[in-house]
Amino acid sequence: MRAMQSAVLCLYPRAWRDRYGAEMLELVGSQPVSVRSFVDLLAGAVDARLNPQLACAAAGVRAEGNKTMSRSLCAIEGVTVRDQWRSAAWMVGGSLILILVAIGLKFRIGPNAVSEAFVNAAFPASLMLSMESTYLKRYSRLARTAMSVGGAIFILLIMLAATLIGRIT
Amino acid sequence: MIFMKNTRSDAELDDFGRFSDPALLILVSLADAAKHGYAMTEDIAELADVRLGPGTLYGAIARLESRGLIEPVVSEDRRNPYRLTASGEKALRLRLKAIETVARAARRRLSASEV
Repeated sequence: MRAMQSAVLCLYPRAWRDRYGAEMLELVGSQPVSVRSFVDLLAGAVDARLNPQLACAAAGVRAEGNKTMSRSLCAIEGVTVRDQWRSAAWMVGGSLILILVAIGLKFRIGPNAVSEAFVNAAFPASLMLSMESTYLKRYSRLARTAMSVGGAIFILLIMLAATLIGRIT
Repeated sequence: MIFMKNTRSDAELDDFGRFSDPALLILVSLADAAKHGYAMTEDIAELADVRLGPGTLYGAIARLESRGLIEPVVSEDRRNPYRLTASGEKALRLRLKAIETVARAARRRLSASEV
């Protein structure tokens, strides 16, 4: 059972293990073995996977006094729960809006390349917009806006070009 | 978790979701001295009769550390001790004040209902 508890630590993200792994192992070793603590560790692993930014943010705070702690482990450091909700809202809201625009265009002018491109680009373009508050957060506001909006427009144009090429050939 | 009218600093603990209560217990445990994970678990078990599992304890520690409410103490020991930061102490004081306000009101109402 103790071996299983230690093995559960492997389910935690790497940044988390680097930051807290040794301490957690020490704690697990010093406590009596129980199903409850095994389940608690499992739930903690799920939480750590859902909130990888926590260990990264903690490492970032620590790095100010300890330069050996690498920040490169953290893909999306500093991203809060609010940022994640905002990102999700962009993803869902953006996809819905683009699809509604596509449906509107189709009803208004009949089958056309633009509405087809909008449908195909709805999710990838919205995903690009959603990155503004997560993966692109470390950049300046201007750079974030340029990359997310520019990326979304680029995806739309690529889809439009692909649709037009598909119609010609 | 009891939701109370909070000031900005102590409202941070409410964002911790299911980790709010463990986070508060950790802040209380660290109020007198720096402690490592095992010492915190034992102290909290004695203090509140709650034994935090390792996943819950470190989930709360990660949240507190990422908000700058606690910090690790430089140590050669593998069992890294933590201590309260100034923000952590402030957040704890504000939360205790809020709890005391609610407790006072509750006592007042209970004694009024007895009359």
